[in-house]
Order: sequence, then structure tokens, then C-alpha cells
Amino acid sequence: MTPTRATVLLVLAVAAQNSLPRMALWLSGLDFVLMAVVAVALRSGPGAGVVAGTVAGLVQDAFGTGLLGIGALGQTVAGFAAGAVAGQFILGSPLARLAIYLGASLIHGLIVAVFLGLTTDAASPVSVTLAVAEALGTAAGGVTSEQVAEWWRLTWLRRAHRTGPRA
Amino acid sequence: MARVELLQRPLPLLAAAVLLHLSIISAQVTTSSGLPLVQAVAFGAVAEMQRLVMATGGAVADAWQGYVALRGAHEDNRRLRGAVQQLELRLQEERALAQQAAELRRLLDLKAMAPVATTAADIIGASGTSGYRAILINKGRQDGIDADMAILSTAGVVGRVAQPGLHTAKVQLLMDRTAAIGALVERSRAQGVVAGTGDQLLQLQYVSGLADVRQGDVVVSSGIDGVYPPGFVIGTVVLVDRGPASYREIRIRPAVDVTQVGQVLVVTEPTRRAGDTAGAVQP
Repeated sequence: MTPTRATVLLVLAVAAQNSLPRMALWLSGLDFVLMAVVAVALRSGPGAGVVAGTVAGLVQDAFGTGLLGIGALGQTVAGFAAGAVAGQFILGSPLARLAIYLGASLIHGLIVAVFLGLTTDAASPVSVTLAVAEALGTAAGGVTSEQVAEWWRLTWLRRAHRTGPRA
Repeated sequence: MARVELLQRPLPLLAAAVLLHLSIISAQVTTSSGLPLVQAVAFGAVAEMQRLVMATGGAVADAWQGYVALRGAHEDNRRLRGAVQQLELRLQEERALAQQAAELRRLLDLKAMAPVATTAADIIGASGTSGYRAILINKGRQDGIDADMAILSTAGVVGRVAQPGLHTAKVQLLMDRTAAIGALVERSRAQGVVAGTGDQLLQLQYVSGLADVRQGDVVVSSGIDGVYPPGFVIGTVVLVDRGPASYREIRIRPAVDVTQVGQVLVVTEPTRRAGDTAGAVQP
């Protein structure tokens, strides 16, 4: 993935994270930024995952009510992990990708929960059910987005092939 | 070239990034009081960016509409269709304005009833991740908005100002996992603390197992926290169960659905009347 495409993807993800919950609050349970960070890491490796996680995570943290850096730390480590695993295995099937997204979401959730517990007086304890549900939602959202993007890319290629080069 | 080399060495990069994040977190945690500088600067920057993006978006939309209208003027048929579309659009705008006026009327009614000084603000954004739930309003320090000011709507309590920017402010919603508000059950006057869970439902904590709380009871702010004025609706009890130790486990559905609210009231000078928990203000 080119740096430009990765940047556009991350900007879109941050925009979605900060606008879609206004329409339906349950959408705030989906981590669009993490989806984008993992997508970048899967295509460009752990280094790109670290950079994407750091930058997008810090921007997203600035919009939230928590401490700056906690979410970013989770995004960074999740991006690195996703990129590192992707470099070791062939992740062609959607199920394998779902596992990567889910793993990254759980890593992110765990880091955020630990640092939140260490640094702030949270009014309520972390709900494991809610955290797992959000991780599953994010993973499903990530894989679905990938499938839609792939379908769109193939459709576009087929159409271009059928039309052929213009005289 | 240097960038590519850097990306090919992910472990040192990860170590540097983790160190950076830990430094940022540490800087905020060790700050003695008030707003952490690094957080304020970051929020100020992104809030201004969002304001700029919204303003630019509006200008682009206006320019685009102007372009469409110009094109439509060349062809009669298109012009007529355009006229119809314009009329439909105006009708929709009128409807929207009527709704807005109705909402403002309700806000004014609430303002008249509320024993606190308030100022109205528009919601311009919302965000939430990992248990944090927040909205962004279009009033900031320049409008007299300060941290810990209560945010109300016609339906009840929305949250509190977590971080005021220059022209905008970040509002922590009641459902944020780090949010809490002093509360009492309107019918039985049983006191407790309503805490956010990060989920759709809130939790009423520290209510004795002997207290009289039933499903359907309205929970209002008690005012003992010094942030929220007393008597404003927080939500309705939807679940009462045996909790840990001698407390009950009580879940509350919030009275305010932020996705349905366009404007809110910021309590600029909360009236702190200890023990005065007169009936809830209903819209």
C-alpha cells in the first residue's frame, strides 16, 4: 500500500470514528481506526503498522475523553502484531484475516484496559463481555470492509478489461 | 530511502513508538491539577481542524450547489427540474427550521424552568472508543465555557464539559466509563451514584439492599457532586437485582439519546443548593 493510500485510509477512518457515532451510538463500539491500522499493517508490514497506529491513535485519542497516548499505544502494538503475523503466514482466506483483526482488537482492548486501570479512576470496571463484543464487531467490520473493497476492485478491473483500451 | 529503511526495522520503531506513548501518558498523569498541557494542545489542534474541515465542507457544498444551479440555467427543462428541486429543498429546509425552532422553544422553556444560568450550544461531532463516549459542541472558552460545566438537554442530563477548547468543547457523556453523577430515585429518594459503563445502560451504584427501588423509577441528579444541578432527569430504572455485598445492582436507561439531540444547554453558573432536590424538571 502506498503512503498516500494509507494516509487517505487513516484519515477516512478517523473521520468515520468521529462522525458515525453521532448517527447511531452503537457504532462507537466499532473501532474504525483500528480497522484501518490493521489493513495498513497487513499490506505494508509491521513497520507501517507501528507508524499508522502511532499517528492515527494519537489523533483519535485527542478526540476522546481519556488520556492522550493510551489508545495510541494499543493501536501501535496492535498494528505491529498484525504486520508481524501477516509477514509469517499467508492470509488469503477471510477467516484468517478475521483472526488477525480479532487478535489485534483484543490486544488493543487489553492494553487500553490495563493502562486505564493504572492511570484513571474509572467509574465502572471493564466489562469483558462488552470488550469482546466490540472486538468481534471491529474484526467483522474490518474483514467485511476488505471483502467489499476487493469486490469493488475486481469489478472495476473486469469492467476495464471488457471496455479495453480506447482508441 | 531512509523512510523505507526505517520501516524495515520494525522492532526499534516499535520500541521508540511505545516509549513516546509512555512519555506522553506519564506527562499527563504526573500533572498536578487542571488540564494537562499536552492534552489541551492536542485537543485544541484537532478541534480547530474539525471546525476548519466543517467550514470548508460547507463552502465546498455551497460552491457545488452554485455550480449545479448555473448549469441548470442553460436548459429550460433542467431549469424547471432544478426549480422543483429547489422548492422541495426549501420545503425541507422550512421543515428543518420549524423543527429547530420547536427544539429551541423547548430549550427556552427549559431555560425558564431551570434555576441555573445556561447558554445553548450545537452538537458538531461525536466520538467514542474503548469505553470513552464524547461529543463536541460549538462553544468554547471564548464563550465562557469551562471544564466541569454540566450539559443538559430538554430530556435531561447529557454530561459535563471534559475539555474546553477556544471555540469548541469536548463533552464527556454520562455513558462514558469514567463518568459519574450524584443521583437519587425520585419516588423513594434513595441516594446513589450513577456511573457510565461504556455501554448503552448506566449503573446506579451504592444503593443499599434495603432501599426502595423499582423498575420504571425515574432517577434524577442529586446535586451533591457540585457539577450537576439537582433535580434533572438522568434516566429510568430498567433492571433491579441483587448486587455485590449489601448493595443492589441497578441499571438505568439514559433519558437523553444524543443521536436525537441537536442542541444542548451548558450550565455556566451551577446553583449549588445542598439538600434541595425538588422534583425533576420535565420537558
